[in-house]
Amino acid sequence: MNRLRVIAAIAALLVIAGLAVGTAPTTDDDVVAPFTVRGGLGDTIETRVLTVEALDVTRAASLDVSYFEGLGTYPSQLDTDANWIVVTVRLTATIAPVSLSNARLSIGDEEFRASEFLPRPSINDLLAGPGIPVVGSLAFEVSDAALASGAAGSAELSFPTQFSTQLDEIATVELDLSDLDSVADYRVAKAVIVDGGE
Amino acid sequence: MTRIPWWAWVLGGLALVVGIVALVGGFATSPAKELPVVSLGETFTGGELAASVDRVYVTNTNPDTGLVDATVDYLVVEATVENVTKSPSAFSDSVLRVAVDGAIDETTPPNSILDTDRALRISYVQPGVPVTLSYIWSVDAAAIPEGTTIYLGIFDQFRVYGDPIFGDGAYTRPTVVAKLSTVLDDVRTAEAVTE
Repeated sequence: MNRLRVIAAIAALLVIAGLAVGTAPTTDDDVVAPFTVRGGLGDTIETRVLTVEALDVTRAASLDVSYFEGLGTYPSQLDTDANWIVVTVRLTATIAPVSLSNARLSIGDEEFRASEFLPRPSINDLLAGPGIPVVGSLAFEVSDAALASGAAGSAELSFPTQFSTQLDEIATVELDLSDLDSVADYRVAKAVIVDGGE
Repeated sequence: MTRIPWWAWVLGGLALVVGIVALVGGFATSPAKELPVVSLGETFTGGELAASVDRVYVTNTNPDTGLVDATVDYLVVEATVENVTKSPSAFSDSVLRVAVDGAIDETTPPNSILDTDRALRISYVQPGVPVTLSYIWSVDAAAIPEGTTIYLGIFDQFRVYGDPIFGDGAYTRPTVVAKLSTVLDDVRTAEAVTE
């Protein structure tokens, strides 16, 4: 009887050890991988440093950016031979002002960076303090091939807030870009600080 | 059993050394490989970007501001660049360099890079979305006479694996991988006005 207990205990230990080995990170990158906090369009996604909600997603051939407020001149239209994917987001920093300059749109294994062409005041210029919500748009210039691929139905917009994302939380919005009708001209609104109760 | 004389061992050893040297190419100087020469409008595809030089001209209108300055000329290289990777590339700032005798050194980066169609500064190129870029070098007025031959190099960078600091995420320094030369298109206007 004692022998059976010992054998059972050893077997149980082997199973636990096997599970531990089988689920352990296999590379150094896995060990320090960021934690992804996911949500869909309209969901409020809360991470360590920001709360983000994607309000709207639009596909356009041209952007009207006549809202520009600054010195000098700026083109009022941003045309493209590809596609603009514009995502309007509400962002609230929780600890300190954060930049969205590292925001990425992933379609399958292709990754697009938020366009640097949206004029001031864009959501990257309005680095509001903690607890103060900002609404603005991010624009991504995306190839026809990416939008025509099967992966467009499960695109992901992620918001790493710094270059190194090791062990940090990353808000990620799951987007279906496969059925978006393209509008000829989309008027982008300037980024604004909004009432927290809005 | 006949004993092999000592000089036979020496000759045999020498023959072995000569044979190995001959096998790996001998002592001849390794010939330098000629860089591929591309022509205007021809696309050269590197590991990260596909680039074609479309036009090279000199102007006295600042492409960045639209202002004319009598003391400065701008050498502009218009190129079509496409990112052939799967993620945004900032290598577009290094993919082209020019050499102009007495005016621009081949190591000098452009003063600015514009998205030509939008006339906006650009710092990275999205995957699969070709863009026309203007690489702009400012030089002293009249430093580049009409008809000057401009030498251009197309650069690439290569992944380094197992770097002690950056692991597999490091790259070599930009390396010239193709070249072309062309005669300058002079579009300087006569009515230069100092701003």
